[in-house]
Amino acid sequence: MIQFRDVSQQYEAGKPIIQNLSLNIEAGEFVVLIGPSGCGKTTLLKMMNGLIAPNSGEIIIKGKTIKDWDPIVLKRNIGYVIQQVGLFPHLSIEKNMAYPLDLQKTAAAQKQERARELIHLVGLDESYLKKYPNELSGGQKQRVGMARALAADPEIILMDEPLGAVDQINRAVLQDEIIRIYQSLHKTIVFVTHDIEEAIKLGTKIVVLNQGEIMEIGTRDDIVFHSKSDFAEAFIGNKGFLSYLNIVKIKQVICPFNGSAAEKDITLAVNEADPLIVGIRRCLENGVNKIGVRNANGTLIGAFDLGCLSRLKF
Amino acid sequence: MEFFTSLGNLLLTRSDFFIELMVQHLLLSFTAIIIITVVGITTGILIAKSPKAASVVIGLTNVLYTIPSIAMFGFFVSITGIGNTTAIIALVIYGLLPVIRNTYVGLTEVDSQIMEAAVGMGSTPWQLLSKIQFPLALPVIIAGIRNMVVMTIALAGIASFIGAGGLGVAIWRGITTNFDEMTVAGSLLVALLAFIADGILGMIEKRLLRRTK
Ligand SMILES: Nc1ncnc2c1ncn2[C@@H]1O[C@H](COP(=O)(O)OP(=O)(O)OP(=O)(O)O)[C@@H](O)[C@H]1O
Ligand SMILES: [Mg+2]
Repeated sequence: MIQFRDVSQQYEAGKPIIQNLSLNIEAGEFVVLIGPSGCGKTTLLKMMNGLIAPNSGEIIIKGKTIKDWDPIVLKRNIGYVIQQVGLFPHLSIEKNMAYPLDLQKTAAAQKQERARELIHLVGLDESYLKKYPNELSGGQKQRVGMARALAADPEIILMDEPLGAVDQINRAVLQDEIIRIYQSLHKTIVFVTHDIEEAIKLGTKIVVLNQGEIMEIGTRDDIVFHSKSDFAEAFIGNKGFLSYLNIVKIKQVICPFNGSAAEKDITLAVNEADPLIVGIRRCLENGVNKIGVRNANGTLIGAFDLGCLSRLKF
Repeated sequence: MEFFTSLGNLLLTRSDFFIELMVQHLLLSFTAIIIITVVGITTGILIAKSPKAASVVIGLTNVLYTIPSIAMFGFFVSITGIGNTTAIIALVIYGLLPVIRNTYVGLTEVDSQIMEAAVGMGSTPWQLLSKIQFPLALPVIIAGIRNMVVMTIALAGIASFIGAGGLGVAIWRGITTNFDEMTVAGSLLVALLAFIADGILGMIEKRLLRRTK
């Protein structure tokens, strides 16, 4: 879907921002770019939709090199949530969300209908349609920014720290919504963040960047447990591991019962939808190695076993 | 007190005369205002794309702006003769500065992040200008127009010195015949027109400002 071949970019001579970078993003992947401030994440995103042309190398979008794309058409084919949201202050929320459709001269009735779909998609109610950006909270603006990127139903969506301005609680809610949107709409998403937990939670593929180079690339298991570079190891480290425990669900590590009393003790049991960290804590609190796991109906379906965990293949 | 009574009498008895002058005055001013608005906004938009051209154009209009009005009128009389055309040319030259400058400033001061968002979604240069940049610059542009309108209406009072119509005729006649009430009546009506025009534009400005701040 998106390919970088040996791409380099510099704004000023002698100060390379991106260095001989190659990257392959398949259709349907949720790729998270993470790295320290100034490492070139935003620059990479802007190269993907043609806002910035690389000094050398080749970028291929949907099988066509970027030089062969009409720059306007390319941008209309890609949803883009910029780092600072960038809602248009003189337009209502409805008009903001429909802006990409407006550019393509979509009929008014269709724009209205789409705006109504979008506002529900990002979890706001219709009364917001007639409001203006200055009447919204930071988190609500971020939602509208995301809705706007989805408006023209692009296959590719670029999101540059879309949750940067949101508090922890709303952040988790919005992350869940992004996952829901990703899973239901089957988009290819490239997502930039500073937050390791967010990267591990959202990405099907995580790219760790430093000074314009890829340090590590892989799934969350690869990144947390099989880091090959010292930089990624230090950058992800135990914070990454903790996030991993916070995110991976117990459902993924259920073992068969093997007859201990604690396994059958329903008062000790954890839910299959709980993260690993809940199970580990429950075991430590109660001084046992194994506890039961119940499903959404409350039925015991297997065991959470500390001994089993170490034998999991990550 | 006596002066005001005779001023009132004058305005009442010669109301046809004053109304005609006011109509002339408005026609003269509006012609200039429309030309200034069109030329000024177009120029402002064009120079907003090039900082170099902008400094040249704004510098030039600044210089023109500092020429005393009597000298400017006199200069154009020597080229285009006396009458309305000359008056309009001089009024246009004076009025351009605030409109060009405010259009330029308004357009270039639109938040670059907002512009980038619009470009990143695939706006053409014309869509960017008409849907984002211009509407966001509008309050600043209107402020410039408001400034220009008041100035043009006031300045048009001098235009009859070079043979154009308008309330300047009354002022001029008052001065030359030592008829103070006539001079004051003409001046008051010029001020009244400027005041009303400013009020109307102020209302428009307020409506626009409500949204964009
Ligand atoms: N227009 C520009 N001109 C010159 N240098 C730039 C420009 N834009 C970015 N840079 C530089 O390029 C480098 C990478 O910037 P970029 O915005 O891609 O970083 P980032 O990884 O997105 O950082 P952050 O996490 O802070 O958003 C930085 O050192 C920045 O100073
Ligand atoms: Mg950035």
